[in-house]
Amino acid sequence: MSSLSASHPWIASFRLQAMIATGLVMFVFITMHLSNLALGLVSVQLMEDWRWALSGIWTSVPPLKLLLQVSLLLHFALALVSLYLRNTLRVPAYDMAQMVAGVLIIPLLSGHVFGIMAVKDLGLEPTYTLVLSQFWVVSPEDGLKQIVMLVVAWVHGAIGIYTWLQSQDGSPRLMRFFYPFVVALPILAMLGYVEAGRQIIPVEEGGMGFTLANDPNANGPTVAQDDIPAIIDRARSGAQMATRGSLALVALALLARWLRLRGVNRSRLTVTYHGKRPATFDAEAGLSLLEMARAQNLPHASVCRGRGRCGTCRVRVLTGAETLAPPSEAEAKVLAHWKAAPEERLACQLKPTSGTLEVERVIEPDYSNLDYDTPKGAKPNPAEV
Amino acid sequence: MQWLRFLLSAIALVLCTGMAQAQFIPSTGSSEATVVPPPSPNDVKEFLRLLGDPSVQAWITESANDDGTLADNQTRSFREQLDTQVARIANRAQSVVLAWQVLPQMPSVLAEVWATELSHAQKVRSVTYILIFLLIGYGLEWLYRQTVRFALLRVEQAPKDAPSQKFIGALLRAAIIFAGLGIFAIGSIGAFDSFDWHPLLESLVLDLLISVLLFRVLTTISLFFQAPRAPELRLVPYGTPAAMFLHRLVGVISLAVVVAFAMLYMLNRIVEHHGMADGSDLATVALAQTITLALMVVVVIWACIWLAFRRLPQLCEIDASPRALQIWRNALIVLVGAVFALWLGGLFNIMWAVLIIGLVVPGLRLMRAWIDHFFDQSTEALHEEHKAEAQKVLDDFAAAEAANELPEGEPQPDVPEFADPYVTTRPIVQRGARFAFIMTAVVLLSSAWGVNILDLSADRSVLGRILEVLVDSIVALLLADLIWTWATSVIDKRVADYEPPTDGQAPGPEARMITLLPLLRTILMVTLLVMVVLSVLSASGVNIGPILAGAGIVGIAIGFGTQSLVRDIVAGIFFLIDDAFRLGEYIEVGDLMGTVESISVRSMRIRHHRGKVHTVPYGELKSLTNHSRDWVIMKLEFRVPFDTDLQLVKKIVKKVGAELKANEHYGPSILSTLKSQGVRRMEEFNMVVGVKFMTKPGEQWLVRRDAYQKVRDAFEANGIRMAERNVKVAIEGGDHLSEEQRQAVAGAAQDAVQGPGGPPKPIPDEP
Repeated sequence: MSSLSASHPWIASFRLQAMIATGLVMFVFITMHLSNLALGLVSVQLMEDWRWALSGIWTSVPPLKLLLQVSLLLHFALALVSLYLRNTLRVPAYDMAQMVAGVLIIPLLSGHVFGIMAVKDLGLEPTYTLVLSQFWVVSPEDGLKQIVMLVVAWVHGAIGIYTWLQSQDGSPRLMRFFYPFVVALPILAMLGYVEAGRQIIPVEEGGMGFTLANDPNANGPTVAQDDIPAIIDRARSGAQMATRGSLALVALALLARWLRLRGVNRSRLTVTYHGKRPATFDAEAGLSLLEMARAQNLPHASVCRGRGRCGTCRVRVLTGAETLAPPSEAEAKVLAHWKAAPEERLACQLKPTSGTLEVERVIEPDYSNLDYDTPKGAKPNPAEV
Repeated sequence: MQWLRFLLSAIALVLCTGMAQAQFIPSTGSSEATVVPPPSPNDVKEFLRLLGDPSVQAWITESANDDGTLADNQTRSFREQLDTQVARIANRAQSVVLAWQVLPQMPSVLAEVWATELSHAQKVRSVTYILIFLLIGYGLEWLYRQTVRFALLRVEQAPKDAPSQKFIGALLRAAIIFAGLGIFAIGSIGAFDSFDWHPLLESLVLDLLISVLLFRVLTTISLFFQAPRAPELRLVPYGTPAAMFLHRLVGVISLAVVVAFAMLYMLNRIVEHHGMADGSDLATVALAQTITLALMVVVVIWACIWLAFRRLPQLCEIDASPRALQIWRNALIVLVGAVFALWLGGLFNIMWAVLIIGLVVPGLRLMRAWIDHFFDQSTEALHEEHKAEAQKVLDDFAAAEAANELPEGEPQPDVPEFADPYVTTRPIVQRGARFAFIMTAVVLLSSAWGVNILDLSADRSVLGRILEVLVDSIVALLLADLIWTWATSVIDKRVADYEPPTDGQAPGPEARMITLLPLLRTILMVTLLVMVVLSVLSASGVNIGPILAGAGIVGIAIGFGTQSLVRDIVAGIFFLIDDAFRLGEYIEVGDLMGTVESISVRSMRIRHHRGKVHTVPYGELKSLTNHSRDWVIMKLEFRVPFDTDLQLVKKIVKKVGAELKANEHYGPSILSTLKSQGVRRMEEFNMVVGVKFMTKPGEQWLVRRDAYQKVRDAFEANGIRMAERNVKVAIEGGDHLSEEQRQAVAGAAQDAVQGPGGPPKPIPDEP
């Protein structure tokens, strides 16, 4: 990690914990919001009836609203930090998907958020008939954007939760519920969205032209007619600003990362993997061992894909241990959790600098020798076997 | 070999070309392939009325030939056929020119159609729908992939040595991925189909969903062979960088093809749905679209070929000269261009011929290299092992040489030869694959030319005849070649594996096959040759009946003349198959005995142990006695006086038996050692004690010699003497006889002892 987190180990630990906590808050929000959408499979009326509980609660109850906003900002800020700290952008597909999705969320989301805020400013209730007709009839591009946003946000959140859950004890049991849930909910939500759209679209365009039984917006906007364009303009520019601001921040983080990496002196070293699939390669210092192996297309077990949580990327350091920095607190915790031998290290936290390094995988890339259910169980010591 | 491997990858690209271009044809020819509706009742009535019309009947009778068939007015001269071809090309050129003129207006026309057919909202919504249904498909597939994640990982990562393991792994993985694709298809298309849609929208969305599916299927096939991320499952002979690069190229080509198709279908659908406003023919517009899209695909393929030939030499070591590579690249580019030009000219038949023939040549070479690679890979481990072994032998030899410990007569190190376990399988697989490849090409070619191979005999045209002869000859030749390769490789391997027995040892059962196999090979070759020649002759229309009859007559004549020769050969084959005798065995045929010295096709030669050589034709053999099989029992007899202690005899024999068994030379050959059988019979003056033993054939003489000697010595040591023939002459009151008288009596008894028969015959000798 950086010198900052190296000198203050609690920073790294806080970063990890806060990332998960804020992410979880937003995941709960999205889950509830999507459940609301899924009700559209029955009828728009039902969606509307449950709107206060499933979506409105996050905007009408101040503590929850605050929690959501703080979570969003903090999560974004932390994500920028971890982007800055990334050694390489050659990451596994899941991480790449999560990264790209994360960058896209705010530009996609801003229109929806500022739109809902503008609706409230206009003195209207953001009912589903209003929003859906906006998305399906008035401006279908926005509707398309919402679907993309839904998927992007869900993929981002689901990958985060998935990665976190997988490094928990007893994850196979958790996963049994998580897998169906993580697929079923967005599908139901999207189908609900389509079905509700078919109900909302006017009859002349091939829909059913649904209207609410008692529409709170029946009387139109309550603000003065002259203020309406100003409010809409404000919402537009707000959305635009959020989009540009977020993209600029991401660009800044990337720029800072580039500057940081430019300054790093890159020495070369030789890494040798022993064991079932031996390999020897030259690598540039600065990457973690796991990233080096990936760059060489060497298969490597790693459930959390390099976050230092799961402990499946453990390697046995055979020679060259003296050139390595001692394990950080987080790494030591994971190693202790697995009752690892003293020469074992996490490949994702190991940053070899120079000379030669000879290692051996503890867990095979196909996880054939990993007993998931008893991660704390006595691990066979290779010296005894 | 490397550059062949390289070509293999290039061919993958070109194959895509073939598929791409092939698929464009139905869309242009769709106007001809209209569905014929069943005749209406009115039509049927009219037809029946016409049949009943006398003038029509008269016309039918007139145009009928003498033999009752209708005159074939369809037979056209070559000139006429050429004319129609030229006219067709001109027609095609005209429509291409028309399409060219329409082309600049296309975007505006399409934009107009696009705008009027679907409202803006509908368009965006259809994109939304496509996205949603694709996502549903992906979601379900992801769920499935999670459940099989570890199984897939294991298949991908587990080390695989044999090519069969590799192949099974790749198949397994392809099955898992294809199941995922099926779930994707069900999830996306199934979910989409369960709603009701606007018909145009439905067809558009469905086309796009199917395109995505098609693209994924194509890339999965590439994945099956190249496995860029799982080197353990890679079936093609190159490394990860090259596999990744080629996989990407295949992805690009598949994308181009699939997009071209999706656009083509979409545009044609819209044009059909709308009709064209400015009077230009629908078919022209469709053609213009098709040409544009085909051109796009061709350009993409050209670019891919060029790029592949540029990058691949850096990615994998290819030992071909740059010049050869350039030639191959240019050939492929020209091939693609020629195919496109022919297609543009509407000469579909020739296009197919050029495409298929153009691909067969490099395809065959690549396939050969590919199969070789497959076998090389599987024997790689064995090769390593063998190398290590040979090295060890050499090292030992060098060490022994250095230490001067070498035995006298062995100055050469005994390096083991490499035993390739696939030495017979490899050529068979090569030939089989070649056979399948060529047959596929022929079938494709003929189906492209609209000729049904199975119906060829019904086609009387010159072209049909030539094609039929060609197909028949190729099939006959390839089949014969396949059988011949298989037979020779099997026979040669057996002959090569045969180790002739070292001097003095009986040969194993392989020996008789070594006698038979060359004979069988010759017979097979002659048979195959005759059959191929006959079938080619018969395919090309030569009546082979007389040849067969002639051959039959000659055969009978020769058969009568050489009756006994044939009998000898056939009988010999059966004797050999029966395994009645082998080289080196001691046999007895009628009144001849001896060791089998040589076995030929007609006769065998046996050598009597006293040097006489008998030559016996197999036809003469009625029955044959083999003295050299499995075991021999030998019985010996000792004559002892009546007062011998039989218990003692038994003990002595037992002891001698143990001694014989313990002998270091022939002891192991004794199957059941010497034992006493007690008194076999009583004779006039003595008892006969029988003993017997069982040995391997050929060893009994030596054992018998020692047995006699040892038993005699042991008897003597124990005071048992052998019975001797003695005559007691009792004379009443003969005590007073003088010495002379006694001798006279003994002399008189001598005659009684010897009997009238004279001295005993010599025992028949033994080897």
